[in-house]
Amino acid sequence: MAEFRLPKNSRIKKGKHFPAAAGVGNIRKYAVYRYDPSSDENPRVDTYDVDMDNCGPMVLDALIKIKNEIDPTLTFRRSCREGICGSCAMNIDGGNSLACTRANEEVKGEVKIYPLPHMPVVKDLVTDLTNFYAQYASIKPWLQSRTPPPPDRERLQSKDDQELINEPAACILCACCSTSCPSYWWNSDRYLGPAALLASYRWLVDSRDDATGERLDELEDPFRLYRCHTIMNCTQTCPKGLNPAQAIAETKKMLVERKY
Amino acid sequence: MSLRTPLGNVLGLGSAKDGTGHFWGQRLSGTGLLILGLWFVYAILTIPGFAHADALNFIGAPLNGVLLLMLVVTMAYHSNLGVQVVIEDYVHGHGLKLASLVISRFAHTFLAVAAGYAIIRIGLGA
Repeated sequence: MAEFRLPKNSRIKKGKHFPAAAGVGNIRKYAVYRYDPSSDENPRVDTYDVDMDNCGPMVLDALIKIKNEIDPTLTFRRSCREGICGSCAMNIDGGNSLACTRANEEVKGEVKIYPLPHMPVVKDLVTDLTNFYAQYASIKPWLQSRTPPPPDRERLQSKDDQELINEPAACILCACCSTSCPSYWWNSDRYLGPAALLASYRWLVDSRDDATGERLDELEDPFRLYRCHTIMNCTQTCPKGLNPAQAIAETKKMLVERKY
Repeated sequence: MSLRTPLGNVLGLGSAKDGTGHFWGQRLSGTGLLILGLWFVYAILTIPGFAHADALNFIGAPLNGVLLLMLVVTMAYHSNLGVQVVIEDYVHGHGLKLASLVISRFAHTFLAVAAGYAIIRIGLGA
């Protein structure tokens, strides 16, 4: 049956408090989930007082400041710091987002930071995305064409055709959408999740791809596709403003269209 | 612990190539229930009385009997599809899941047949 309580060794305890140095006026509290699998301790939430007069504007700036100046043991992924690599996806103030594009001032009160929900935690804010990436690989995210390309130029697309894939191709695979989806929480072993389904849709509507039927065959499954119950958390949380829920609905429409 | 590859785990036993009929059936029966439900509310509001004889007269009228039959069959079908989704969502043990699905299917079939039998019996004046 579904588990509605965390296992005993996953229940979160109160952690340490790291007060700001004396004389700091503009303090903001950051409550950050901490977990070290190499110790037997339960996860905890540590609280850091951050000097906002000497901190950048984004949540990622605060995390980097905490790591550099307060607690070097804090672990998180980050790379581009401009919302294109998807590395710093985490749960901020109750919603999944990218720490690098989420402004500190958008969050009211204490800034609560947790790893992406319902994923195995490697350490602190770093989750294991192996299954997520395997799901992406399973939809064959590359052009499949039986038509040889023209010998003298690239495969052509009309402007209208290109516009169909503009939005779904902008996905950065940060996993914010999939890990915000309750259906994915309960059935991520079989449900592909909104990110993989959005990626699949990107190829379903690509005018250069000849494998639409085969792609739909692979998706037509009570779990792979139809676990989506149009909850819409994916669309609400996407830090890139994309609409995976609509892509999934369009995929379901294609399947109905070819059957009836 | 299994050393099966992550991709192998995701691909599993392959696509069931099924689910669209379920999806379409759920929407179609939902639309049918909306129409039949509106009729049922209207019929209940305009029924002359709620005595036993009034109920028999109402169900015994041919159009009412047919629409009532359609209502209970559609309702049982729609409910069966919905309960199936809930079971598939939340029951994860393979044996328990299969048993729950079978019990749900049997229970819904029983309810539809029992209600249908009652309506037909009244309609035929048996």
